[in-house]
Amino acid sequence: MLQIEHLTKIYDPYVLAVDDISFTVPEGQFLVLIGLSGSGKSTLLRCINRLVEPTSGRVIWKGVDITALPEGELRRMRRRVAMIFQQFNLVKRSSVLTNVLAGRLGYINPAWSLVNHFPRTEVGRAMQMLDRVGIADKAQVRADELSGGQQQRVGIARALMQQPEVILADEPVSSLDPATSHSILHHLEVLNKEEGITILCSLHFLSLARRYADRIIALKAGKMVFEGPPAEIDEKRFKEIYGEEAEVVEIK
Amino acid sequence: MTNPPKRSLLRTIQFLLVALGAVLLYAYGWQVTQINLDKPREPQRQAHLLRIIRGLFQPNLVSWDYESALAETSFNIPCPAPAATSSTGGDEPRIVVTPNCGQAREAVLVEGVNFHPNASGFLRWIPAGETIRPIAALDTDGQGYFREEITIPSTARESEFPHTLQAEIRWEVGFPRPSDTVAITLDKMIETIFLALMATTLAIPVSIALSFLAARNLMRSITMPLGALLLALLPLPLGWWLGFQVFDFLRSIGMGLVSGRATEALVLLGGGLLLTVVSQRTGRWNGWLEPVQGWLRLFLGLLVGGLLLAILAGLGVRAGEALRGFLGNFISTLSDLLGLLLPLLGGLAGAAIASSLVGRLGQRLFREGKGAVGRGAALIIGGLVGAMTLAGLAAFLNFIYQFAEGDSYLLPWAIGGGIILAAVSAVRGADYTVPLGSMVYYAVRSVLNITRAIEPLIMAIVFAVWVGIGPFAGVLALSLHSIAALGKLYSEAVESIDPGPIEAITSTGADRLQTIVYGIVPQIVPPYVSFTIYRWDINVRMSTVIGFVGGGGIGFILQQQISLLKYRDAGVAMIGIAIVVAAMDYLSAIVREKIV
Repeated sequence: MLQIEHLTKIYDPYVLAVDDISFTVPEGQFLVLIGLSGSGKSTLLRCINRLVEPTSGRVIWKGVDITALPEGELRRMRRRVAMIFQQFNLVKRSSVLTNVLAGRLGYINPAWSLVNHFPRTEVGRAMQMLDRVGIADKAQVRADELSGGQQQRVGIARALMQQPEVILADEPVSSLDPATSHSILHHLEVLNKEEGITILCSLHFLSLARRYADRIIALKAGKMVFEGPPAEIDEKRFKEIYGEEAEVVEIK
Repeated sequence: MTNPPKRSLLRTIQFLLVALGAVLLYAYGWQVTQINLDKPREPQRQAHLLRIIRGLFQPNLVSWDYESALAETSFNIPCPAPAATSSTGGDEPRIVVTPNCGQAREAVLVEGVNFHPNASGFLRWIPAGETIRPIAALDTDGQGYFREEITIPSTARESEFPHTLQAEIRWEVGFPRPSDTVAITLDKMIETIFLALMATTLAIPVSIALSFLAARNLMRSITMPLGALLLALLPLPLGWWLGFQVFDFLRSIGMGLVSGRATEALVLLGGGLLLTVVSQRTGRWNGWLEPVQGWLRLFLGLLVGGLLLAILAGLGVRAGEALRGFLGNFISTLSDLLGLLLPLLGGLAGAAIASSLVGRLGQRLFREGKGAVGRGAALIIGGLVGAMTLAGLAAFLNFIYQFAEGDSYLLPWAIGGGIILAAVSAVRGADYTVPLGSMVYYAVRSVLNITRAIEPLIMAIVFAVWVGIGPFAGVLALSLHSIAALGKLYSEAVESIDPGPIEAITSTGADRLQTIVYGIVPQIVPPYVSFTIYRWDINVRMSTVIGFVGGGGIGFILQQQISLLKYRDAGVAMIGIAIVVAAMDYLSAIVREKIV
């Protein structure tokens, strides 16, 4: 169970990115965050694994206050909370395999990284993960030679290397075409349903959110404006979240 | 519809004023830089220029074996009563002076016949009983004839014996071969290329380390509470001193290894290794020892590592001396350098350990003693650090400016510094966040910019005083300048990397080192390689002129030849420079294309 309590983030110079947000995510839920660009979705996700230090409030995961963890324990926590990104954030010049192996860095002895070595078992695990997302044949290819959809699959494989209990997905399909978007979200759905991985995923399109979410949380200017099952978002709620002039765009 | 805006009178006047200002500026510049057309029009200067250009365009590339022919005739001062007979006839080379007697400073005509055609040589004046001196250059025509009007030297004295005029004409025989100048130039060009290579290589590791400290995106996020920072600074000198002493001792053991102190070294090393193995094998210690275990292991590791390095250095010096040759010299100098650096390494390690140890204790102190206690502690420690820092600064200034003798001058500085920093820390409190990273960033940037502003030519002059004239001074000068230049270029490469992968690697639970190796290094390798080759290219250019001020390389030869007016030899050096620089240009373009 992941509890967010009165979480607030103020950037310097003053920008109120996340404004006193509280909610609870039960284990195994597929939670989708929606909202306009700049509504605070990315900051909220990054406050959970403290890529962004929250200004105030607490994040409690499995009874432990993440916001109070010292450096070493924070790193151990991050191993089990994987993240995938809108821009994939792969190291472009490194091979696909190396990118996937990087997901394991929290587990292996840091001294190995000085000589750029990974234990054989980890290489085997990485190949297995690549196989799961269907691009094992691209292991030796440079990451920037892959298409967008393939790169995001590498991102998922990297996250899987962490053996995560939670996956934070920051607009994972915003740089992808509709068909690829579905394929990526389908991967996440499988992980959620079959392995019980809790997923917090921010999305732009309501239609995608409706299709995959167990529950939706909507943000507007850093505040939580809706919280509930997908079916509850009707025309009126939609206008509240996205503004009066918004039109529903369907993604099939 | 709007009318096009009219140019107002004011704008026009403004423009005219600016134009007038520009004319005045350039007119004054004209005077300051002493541009004039009189000197270039003097025929004497033009002739001199022509000689240089002709020399440079006829580089002294090849030389031949020569044969030569000599012919002499006598010249009397003053004229004897009956005129001397002039020899005639025969096929032998001979010269005729008309008239064949006279006074000093008189013009006479010298003619030569039967010499080798189209050859050249010298006419020499051999005064009676004195040394030979050349007085004219000779060129024969197609028939082996020359004709030269000369002036009898002003130093020629009256003598009862005749003076002699000697003509020597030389001509080339056999095949041309590369001249000695070519050999010297080649030798110096190789020296130049290596000079640039060594300077660049020496600069790379330092620049890489500095570039991370001078990269804004990495440094900005590093902050430290004031209290912890003060506590970390306080034990620095003590830690440095202790580490320095210990490693200096280790060095003396390592260096004395072969001269009879082998047992000492071996016993120490054996004991150290044994203790290390024991401390690694015993697993986790119990009770109060547990927190100390990590530190003990660290100390042991450092001592054993330091001793190993010292032994390596000692053995290296010996091995190098035994090996001889350039390889032996390389090994022994490198080992000697390692030995010299050891105490410094020890000092650094000692300072780091001391500040980390005390800093950790201090963190606990400040966490528990909030409010008045924390403020009081900050005040005291701040005072101590302030006193220490300003006393150190004063000692440094005194070292340079020598304004005081003895140590008593330190006291007012220490008191002043103590009061200032105590006040600052009391006001700010121990929790005040110090932007440590940004401070380091600005400090390193400033040092790099200042160093980069000093031309390597000036640095070479200074280094030539220290290490003597020669390529080593050039290497040091170019290294120092390259460190500054590469440090800046590298750090800009770090600043322009994509933060995404770093974020991603951090989110996997990787530590700082892993994030650097897997998130940053792959991104900066191509620009680093490219900048390094670019720098080598620049260093080759620089090393061609650094010899002018005693930095070794081709410039040294070039400068000598120019000041000795040997323009044909200077031409060879210039051809060498042109070839090497062009080749470097081409090669670096190829390598950069391949790697990046």
